[in-house]
Amino acid sequence: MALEIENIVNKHESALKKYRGLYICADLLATFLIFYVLFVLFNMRDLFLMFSTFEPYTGAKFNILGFGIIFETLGLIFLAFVLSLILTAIRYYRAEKKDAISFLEEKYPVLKERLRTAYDNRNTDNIIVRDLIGGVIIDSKPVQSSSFLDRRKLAKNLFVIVFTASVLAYVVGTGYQTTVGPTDLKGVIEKIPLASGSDANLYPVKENGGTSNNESNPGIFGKPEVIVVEGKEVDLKMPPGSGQGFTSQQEGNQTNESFIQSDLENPEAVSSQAYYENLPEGYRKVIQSYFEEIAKE
Amino acid sequence: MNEINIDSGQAATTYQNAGRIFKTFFEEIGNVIVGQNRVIEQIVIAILCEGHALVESNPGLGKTLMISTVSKAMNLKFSRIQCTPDLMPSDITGTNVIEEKDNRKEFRFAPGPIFANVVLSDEINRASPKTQSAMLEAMQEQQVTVGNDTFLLDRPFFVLATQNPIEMEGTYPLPEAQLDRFLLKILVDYPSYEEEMEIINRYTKSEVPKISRGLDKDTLLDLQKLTRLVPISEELKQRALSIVSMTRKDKEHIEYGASPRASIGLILAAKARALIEGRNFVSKEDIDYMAYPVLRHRLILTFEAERKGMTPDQAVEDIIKKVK
Repeated sequence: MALEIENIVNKHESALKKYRGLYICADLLATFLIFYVLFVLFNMRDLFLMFSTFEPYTGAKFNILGFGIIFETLGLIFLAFVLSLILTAIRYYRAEKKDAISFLEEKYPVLKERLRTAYDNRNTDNIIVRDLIGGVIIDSKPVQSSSFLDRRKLAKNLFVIVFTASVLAYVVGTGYQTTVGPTDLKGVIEKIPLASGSDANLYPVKENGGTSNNESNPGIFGKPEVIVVEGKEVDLKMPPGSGQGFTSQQEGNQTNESFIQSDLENPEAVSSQAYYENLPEGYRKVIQSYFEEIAKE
Repeated sequence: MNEINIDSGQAATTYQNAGRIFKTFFEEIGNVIVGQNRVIEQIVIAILCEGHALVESNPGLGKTLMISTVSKAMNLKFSRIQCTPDLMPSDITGTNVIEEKDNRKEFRFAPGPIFANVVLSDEINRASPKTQSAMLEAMQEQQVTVGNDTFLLDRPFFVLATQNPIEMEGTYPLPEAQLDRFLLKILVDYPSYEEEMEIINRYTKSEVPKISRGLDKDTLLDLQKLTRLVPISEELKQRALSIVSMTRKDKEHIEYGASPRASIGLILAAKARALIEGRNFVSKEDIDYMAYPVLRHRLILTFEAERKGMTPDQAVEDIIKKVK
């Protein structure tokens, strides 16, 4: 009798475990498809272009099971899978876990408290326990494991899978794409006053300095100014690294000269050369014509 | 695994007829006692668990009638001890008396009223602590020692002690350690209007109601053994233990909680209730229902709780709600 009650509970327990596995797979697939469809719709493949680590692989094709799949697609599949795995794991970790006995007692009130008591006392042999186990075995006969299957939950997942698969097929077939992409999201994030942590009007200063030809920040340097002095064009382009201080490309040569203390001079103010009346040759005309041009504008 | 070695044929018969036995028993009691079904049930539970019960009620609510009727219905020997401050231990246990026989004088033990199956110890809190101890020792050990001789008490042995909740002046309230020896504390309420009308109708006639049928001693002994065989799930054992252990943790309302004796008592009482109700398993309702009579005399409330008018039953109710 003890073996019989154990077999009943174990049979339903294994059926329950199978159904749980089915729910997890269905949930995982549905979540994965939702994520993947969203990634495709919102051009998330451009995300890989924003990371220098992935840049060399963008556009590369990989042969998997005879299919040539580009790196971005693989990346999106992997990302969607990982996210859906995490989300599914969290949901199932937090979900209430009932054992087979609780399930049976809930679904079949005639077994309420009796099944658990019979199962816990299955190794005890006395007249009352035998009577209890006998009664429970008889009342458990009509119980079908298939009654544990939550058809509604599965149908919901199936609907989501079919819907997202259809959307994906449509997007892939028609090549439909939204105009929203990760770069747009980046712009949105940066416009949030505190989230970006900096003034949106300021541009980041690049390590190696910028030139007037820096197209990524067209507003900073403006158009290169050209001045014609006496028929000759004077190049006013800022050399690279100017204004940025010393960079690795502009290290001065090290000298081992010992420090020579300068003579003590009279510490009176020395005016800037800009105000010298006697400017070096050619500078006076350049400066003068520059200000004349500005005045004309 | 065989738990208790009993005659399986007789026990099987008793078990199969248990439902009918109890139904008939309570009907017979109902012919004499009006209402008080809960009290009668708890007295029977205490008997089935081989425990003892403390009854607290106002005078005139039929305590003596109840217990004498139960003992008659069970075909058990009944004795009553009216406790007074001058009651001596030997008045309860018995004493050696000198007897002359064949020109020889010898001591003969004259058993006291404790030598019965059902003993009503009326107003036990009026007896002196020494006399209370003699009674409680007999309850605990189920034997009596007089001089160098030990006398076993007949089984089943059940003591119903009563206390009057009013007029406590000049009494010797039972200390906590001795209260703990009682399995249940039963509260008797006044009857309802209809019940009191029925009492008047029955007991103002020339004929006093009597019990015609009873339960024999062997059947009662079998029922006591069957009580311990009633199975209980691990979940409910944990629930019972949680309830009792929480009485020690709730320091806000309870100064001293119940001992492990209460855990044993609660599970046994729940098993007895399941058997009386005709079930072959203990349910959650049994545990929750029996928690009140098992625990109410084992808790000492804090001063603040008593000042607010909290009763032990309310403390037990709070604990039951907290335990999942």
